[in-house]
Amino acid sequence: MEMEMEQIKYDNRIVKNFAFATLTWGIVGMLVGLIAALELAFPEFFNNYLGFRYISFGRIRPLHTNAVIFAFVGNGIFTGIYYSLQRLLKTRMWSDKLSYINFWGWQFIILCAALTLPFGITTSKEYAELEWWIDILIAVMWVVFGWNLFATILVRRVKHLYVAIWFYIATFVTVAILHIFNSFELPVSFFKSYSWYAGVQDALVQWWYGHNAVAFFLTTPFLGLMYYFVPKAANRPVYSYRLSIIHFWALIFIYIWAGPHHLLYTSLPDWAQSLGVVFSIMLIAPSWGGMLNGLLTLRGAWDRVRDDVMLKFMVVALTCYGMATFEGPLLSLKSVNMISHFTDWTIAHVHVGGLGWNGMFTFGMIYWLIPKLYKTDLHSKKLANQHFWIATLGIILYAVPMYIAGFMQGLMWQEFTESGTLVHKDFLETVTQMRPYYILRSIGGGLFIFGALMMVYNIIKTVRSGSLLADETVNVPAMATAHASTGKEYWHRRIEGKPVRFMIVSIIVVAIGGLAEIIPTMAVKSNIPTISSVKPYTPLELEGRDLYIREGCNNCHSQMIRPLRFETARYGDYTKAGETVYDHPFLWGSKRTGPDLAREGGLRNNNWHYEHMYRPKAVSQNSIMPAYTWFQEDDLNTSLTKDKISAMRKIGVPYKKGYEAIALKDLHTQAHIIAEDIVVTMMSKMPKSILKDFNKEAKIKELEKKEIVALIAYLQRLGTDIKVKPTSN
Amino acid sequence: MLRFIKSHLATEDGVEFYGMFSLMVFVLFFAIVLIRMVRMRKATIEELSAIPLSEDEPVNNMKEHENN
Repeated sequence: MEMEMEQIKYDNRIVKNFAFATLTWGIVGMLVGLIAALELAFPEFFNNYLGFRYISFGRIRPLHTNAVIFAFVGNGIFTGIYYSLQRLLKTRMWSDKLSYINFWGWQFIILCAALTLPFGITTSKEYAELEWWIDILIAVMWVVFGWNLFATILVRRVKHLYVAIWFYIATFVTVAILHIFNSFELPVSFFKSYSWYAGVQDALVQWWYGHNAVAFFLTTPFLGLMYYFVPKAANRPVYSYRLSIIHFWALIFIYIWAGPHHLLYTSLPDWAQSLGVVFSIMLIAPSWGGMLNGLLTLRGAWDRVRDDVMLKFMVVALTCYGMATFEGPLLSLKSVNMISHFTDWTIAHVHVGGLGWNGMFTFGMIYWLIPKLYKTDLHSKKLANQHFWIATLGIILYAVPMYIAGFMQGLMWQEFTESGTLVHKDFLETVTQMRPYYILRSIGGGLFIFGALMMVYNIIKTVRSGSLLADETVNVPAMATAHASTGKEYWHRRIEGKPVRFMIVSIIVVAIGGLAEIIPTMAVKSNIPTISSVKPYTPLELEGRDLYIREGCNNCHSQMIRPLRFETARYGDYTKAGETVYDHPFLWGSKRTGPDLAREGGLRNNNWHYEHMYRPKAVSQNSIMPAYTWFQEDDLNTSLTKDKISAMRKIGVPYKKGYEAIALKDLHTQAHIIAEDIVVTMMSKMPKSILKDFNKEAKIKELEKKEIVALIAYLQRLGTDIKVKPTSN
Repeated sequence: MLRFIKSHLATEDGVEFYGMFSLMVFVLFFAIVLIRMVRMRKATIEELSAIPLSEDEPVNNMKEHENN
């Protein structure tokens, strides 16, 4: 039968745009990560010479994670999808306008992130730190992407949807759901909002999101790309299409449940923790199904891997995926998690995934794409090969020291003497020993970036040697023949043939897991024994808490004492769910570069905090904490205090009606008491000669306005609610 | 709406039901996918897995040096 042909044009310019953005933001995001790593390795240098607030660890760590996840990997996803989708559907993107709105909108969001996070404008929720209006922008841009994706699928020239496209659809649907639910927040001003949820609920929603951001932003889109680019580069079909079907459905069904494994031994109810563990263990099956399917596609083509640098990157990427998805379930076993949680082990784990799986895959994909888009050959295969080896070495040098560091520190925290006291009672002792590993890790990361820079050079030279094929003209079978029936229909083809139905099934599959966790979360109050002595924060404490959020203290300090002997011996009574019911957002943290602060209140006097914040090293000799000098220099901004109280009441914090009217008065009274206490202690240490001319009242008056007082008020409140005796009732 | 189901979640038993129900839904769903997958025709499988390998007839994407 003569097939009717039609001439169409693929949009390559949009692919090129996203590819360039991927490389640009990749370098930026990784460099920010390197600076953060160096800050831990060489804290003196950064404190003495570069101690300015915009690059302090707590502020740039979120910048690093957001940049590499959403800017580097995000643009990488769009690059691959915009290229493969058009070819798998034999259709140009449905709307060029939507394509370019997606592109520029996404870059604008990244710019907004870069211009807010270093300034302390953050919600503090991990990988969701961006403020409310950026969240709205993200939602809009994601819908633009999804709209274009679906419209293109609906006007396609092929009958069937290839497996890669199911992964794209699942990615779109699930990321939309996750982002919207986790971003419920009440704006106080343009730059400040409070999470709608509090305490345990906030934690569960956050890690339901956080875990599935890994699943549906860093995993499913890349598996989709894998199913296109690996067969394409190896020039052979995927090893088992059947396996891809089962692996897809199992993966999206199971992944959504696993979030609570981030909260083992916390105040999250036990049943939710157990559910998270069970599904995390099950997850190993579909994950490895996917990895093996990718690697086995290369069976009988390993000679190609030797010659084709793109395939080399893919093989390492898939291997890292396999390692990370084997390790993930292990880390969610309670006995392993007890050691690994809050340590650098987690950091090693995510970087095997991030650098290995996402990074190497993206590099391989771009090496393969750019020569095609520019109708030329890669400038230097040798250089790409060197990049491959340097990047691989970089991953090893990054991950191995972090594994050792995490394992060591986790065990040191647990060590008891024969008489039953902690061996390393001083937390700092365990931090000091991490230093060699932090230095090695920085070298590993540095190598990885060096490799990426070699790639940028190689790509620039390649681009210069060719010319962009902005519109790639091809002959494809015309619409009418493409849709002709081919006889007996199969169940899965029926679903595939109806993309809208397919999307609905995906939503249901994802929703079952999501709802089963989220509904109990919403009703979880009934599971939290209410503690009557837990009261809302005072206005000054609330302002102090917002400073804690602004500086990203939660990036290094947890507020969650697990009910384990070595934890309670170090920090005091374990954290009860009822203690965090007014915490919008929760600040449990996920990493302890510094000690836990859940029971910090009352442990030390105000003056200790005053001096420690200004120069941590003066108080704790080996401290690697940044010096927060600006807390003593800047006046506390109280212009939003009343609005903050009103906002908190709206989301369920029981401030009395009309409390706004006296909130500021209360704030000043409390600030005065703390300032006076600090000044009196200060004076007791002064030599008489200075004391003679010292104006106590003036000093108090000056100090009580400063940010430091609010921060101290907050720190002194932490964990004290249940230390006081509950009032009657 | 939530307050109607709250009572089911207040007790440990109610919550256990949630987990068991979800697990059963998964096993059932997985079984259906498995059975139907096994019953797919080989020809269909081959047709589907060949999709990314089909090359479009090029019009303007010859490399520069190949044009000469």
